[in-house]
Amino acid sequence: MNHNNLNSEASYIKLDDFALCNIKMDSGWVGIHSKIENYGLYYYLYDGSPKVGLAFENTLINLTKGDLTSTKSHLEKSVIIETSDSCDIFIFNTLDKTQDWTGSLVTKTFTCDNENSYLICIDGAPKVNSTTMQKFDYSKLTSGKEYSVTLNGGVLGLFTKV
Amino acid sequence: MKGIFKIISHSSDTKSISVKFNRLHSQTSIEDCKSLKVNYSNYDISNIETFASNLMRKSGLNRIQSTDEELSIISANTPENVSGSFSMDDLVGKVIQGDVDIKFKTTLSARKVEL
Repeated sequence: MNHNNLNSEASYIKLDDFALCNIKMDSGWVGIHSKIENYGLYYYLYDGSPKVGLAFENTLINLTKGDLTSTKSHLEKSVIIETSDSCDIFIFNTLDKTQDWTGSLVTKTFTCDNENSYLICIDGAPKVNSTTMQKFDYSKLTSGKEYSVTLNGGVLGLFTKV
Repeated sequence: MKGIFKIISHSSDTKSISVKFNRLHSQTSIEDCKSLKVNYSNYDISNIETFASNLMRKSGLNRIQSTDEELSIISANTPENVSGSFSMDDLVGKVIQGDVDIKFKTTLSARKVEL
């Protein structure tokens, strides 16, 4: 991502089949997530009200604080972000643009029905089965297994390779 | 951090320059810095500002950083190794290392857990 000289802080990691990114931007920051490096399938907005759009198009991507927003239809576009306040965004990335994923926030106990599902702690310290997760903890789930969820104000994302 | 550069020589045939870089506020003369050969054939030379920006971003930043890191660290500035759970009181009075360069990406700390 290109950036101007205002402050931004981004962290990124490639994991098993996906990559996670967290971007924190100060007010007035402008960045371009170019097409060649745009692998973001889902955005989660922790804080702020960033303006997110597609280069050379009128399309705006509406991010709502606390919501997971699919951006998978924009993978072949360059994404522009402009901030007018301090913003904090989490991005779930595929490693392969041809590999589709589904993503949703988990709010209650569920039984996993897929061999390629991952649970990611997006925020807070939710408890899953007997484990209290920390921010950015992740786990590959077992199909057929029940996962008892107590959010404790935290946020969990369930991502499944299609 | 602001940097400076001084072009020592130029070859228009090979579109390359020999150039020295330094930090603007360095207490060492740029004359004492080692020169570096840089090919500018793919630089934006539409004006001085774009050229200077290209040169500093593609070559200057790394050169200034590596030169700075070749210097010894005085004992009073030697950082202590600290990591793990945060306690402000534990940090008071310690010299601690932190990055000040403009690297866009750092490694996200993610932990795989069994549920």
